[in-house]
Amino acid sequence: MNHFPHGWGRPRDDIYGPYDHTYLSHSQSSGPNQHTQQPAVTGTSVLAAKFKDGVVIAADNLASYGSLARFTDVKRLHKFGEHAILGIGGDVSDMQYISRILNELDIDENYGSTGNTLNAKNLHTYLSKVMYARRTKINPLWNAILVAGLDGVGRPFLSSVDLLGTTFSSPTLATGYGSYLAQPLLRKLAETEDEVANVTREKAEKAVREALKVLFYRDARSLDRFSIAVVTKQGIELMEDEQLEGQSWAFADRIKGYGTQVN
Amino acid sequence: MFIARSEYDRGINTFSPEGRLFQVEYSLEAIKHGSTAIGVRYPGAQLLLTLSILTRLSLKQVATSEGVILGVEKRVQSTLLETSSVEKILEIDSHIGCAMSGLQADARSMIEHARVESQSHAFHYNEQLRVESCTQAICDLALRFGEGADGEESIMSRPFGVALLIAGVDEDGPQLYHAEPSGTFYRYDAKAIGSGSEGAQAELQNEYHKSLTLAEAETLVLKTLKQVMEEKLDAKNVQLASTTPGKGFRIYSDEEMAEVVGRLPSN
Amino acid sequence: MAFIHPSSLLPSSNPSYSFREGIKSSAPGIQEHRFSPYADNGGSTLGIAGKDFTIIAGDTRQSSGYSINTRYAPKVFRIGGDDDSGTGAKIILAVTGFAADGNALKERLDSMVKMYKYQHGKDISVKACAQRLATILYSKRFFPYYTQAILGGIDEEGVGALYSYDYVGSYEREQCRAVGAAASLIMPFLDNQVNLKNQYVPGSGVGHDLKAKAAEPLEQSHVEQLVRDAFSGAVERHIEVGDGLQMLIATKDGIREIYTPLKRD
Repeated sequence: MNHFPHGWGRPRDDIYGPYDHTYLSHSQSSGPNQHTQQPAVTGTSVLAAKFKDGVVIAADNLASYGSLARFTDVKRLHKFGEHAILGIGGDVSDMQYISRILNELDIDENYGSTGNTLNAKNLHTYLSKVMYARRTKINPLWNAILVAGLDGVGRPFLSSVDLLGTTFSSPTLATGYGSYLAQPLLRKLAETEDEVANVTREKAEKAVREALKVLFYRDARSLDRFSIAVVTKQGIELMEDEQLEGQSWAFADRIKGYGTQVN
Repeated sequence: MFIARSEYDRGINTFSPEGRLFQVEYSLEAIKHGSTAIGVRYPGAQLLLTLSILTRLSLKQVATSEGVILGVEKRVQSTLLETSSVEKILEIDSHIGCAMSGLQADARSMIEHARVESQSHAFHYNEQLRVESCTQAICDLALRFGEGADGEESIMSRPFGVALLIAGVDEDGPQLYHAEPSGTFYRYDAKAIGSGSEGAQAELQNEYHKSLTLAEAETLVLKTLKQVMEEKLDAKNVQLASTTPGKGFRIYSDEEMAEVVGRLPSN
Repeated sequence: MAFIHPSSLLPSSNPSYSFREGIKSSAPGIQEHRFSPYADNGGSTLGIAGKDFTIIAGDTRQSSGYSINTRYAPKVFRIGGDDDSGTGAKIILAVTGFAADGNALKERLDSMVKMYKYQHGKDISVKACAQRLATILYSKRFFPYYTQAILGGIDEEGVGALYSYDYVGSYEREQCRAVGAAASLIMPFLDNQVNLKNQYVPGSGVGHDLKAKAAEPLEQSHVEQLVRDAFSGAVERHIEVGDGLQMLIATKDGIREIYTPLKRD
């Protein structure tokens, strides 16, 4: 999973060679129906890290249209029930669709006498089936998703699912460009599940915020306004309008062509 | 009786206030008009166990001495009838067969289903279908009549009018099952169905014992049939089949029938 | 009327830049890659059948391209267990290739093995399970599960059984098999160490007179060490193999699991 959501789920050129376009019909207005083959408005990385009592998850508030920073106040973290939250990268319209079906699921669950008892693990399983079913219909939801929260016995839970239905979990996770830049930094927190016991909330939150800053420096499709959430037994603390603090752009004035300095 | 019941005969799946499904009960009546069919499982083992000590037979060979015999009467209505065309014992798979009593045509769809199920199991699992599973598969069909639940297609307008005696052999040895139109089934050592079933079952009850041999079982089936048949029993108006661990399910040839009938004490 | 498809206004699948680049393509028409429903998540598995045991092992790394998704994503599963942890299971399945398909295949086989017990009142045999897996794979012949599977357990005679498969269900019972990213590295090692290929009785002759060593059943502890050696070797030479080694051992008493760390580089 790389920096370019447009490349996700496509055969890699370095392995399969470039796609032979002669197989495509010359006009898409005729010929068979085609499903989504590429994302349009996209969100970039989502980051998350487990700590001993819960999980921290964060994503910036930008939705890009190619290289255009199209929407700058898009919330990409979505609460589900009391102890689960998901962060979504990739196509924003597909994200809104996922958000809607999860809302419907939440409403359905709340009709029952026990309320919504689905935990983060249940939510991740459900989403992975949705994503895998859609890829199997060759009509994927073009997203990479992190599910954070608590599992059925109240332990911290963090797992991911992407547009192919591939799932995996780890003490720390990052999607998109974050998998290159943030994940190596986050892994210093906890390399194994056993090491999560030594991570405090403060350490985890600080590491995620630092990683977001690194991404803002180096990911051209990122923003300095972001959302961050902490899930513990006490519930979900969601902060949706955070500002990256303590940036240092002192190096910039020495770079020609940067900012207002033209020559 | 019919006037009292008529209200609950309209909907085929409607319970009467006493909690009965009349159409299912009537279907059991249809079997009582059918020709008699008998199945006997002969254990053989006990008798041969003593033999095995004498002859040093291996235990495996002892186990192969058991089996199931099925027998039916053919009710030959006319001297012009080609008796070999009356098929009341049919093969389901090489290790399972069945005898029927009641509406023969109904049995065809049950047996077709069982054959497909058996082949499908062999295809998917590379092993033979168990006798109980085969019986269950047939009984799964039995209650698929009437209007059908929402979204589920009903395939039959009425219950089956036929009962089956299913004989087969699997890793648990030879077994005999009786399946009814109500969808229930039971395993038997010896069972009679059809018009002569009451008398035949009583006879089996008296005559059955745990050390029957193959030949004794053949004779018991024919002797019992003979007692309840209206026609005089001969090699043409009865049919036998055996199910054994060694040879699986086998319908007796004319020569074999003649041989077994010839063994019967004449009276 | 010239129809401008919205996709021509969208970013291409290539990295895009702040200046507009003309689309360069030898083929006319729309510049687009189709969605590929498959990925390769790397990793390797192997299985060895013994006299009264079968070992199936796999590394726990899951990768995509040069990235490590996670250091612990099991590829070896218990099939037909009573609960989530697989207790009571007697059959082992290992899958490499596309992880999502592997999981889907595992869940499908697991539920079918459970249904089998309800329907037929007995545990499924490895032989029957092996055939069922083949028909599951073949049922998706024209949209295959992109997985190479191996299946193992104890057969009806109490002997270790191992079956290996291709993507669409061709299968065969074998003594040993390596599968996945490092199959080409591990399989020759197994040929030599399990089936004693290219091993001759010392001093038995020259050229064609050389007598081949006869393969004989190996001790379980010896096989466990062979598996560890096979993987520590593969880790050195294949970037997609590493992090951890999961070994599931089927015997008449059930399935035992051994986890050993591997290099994480």
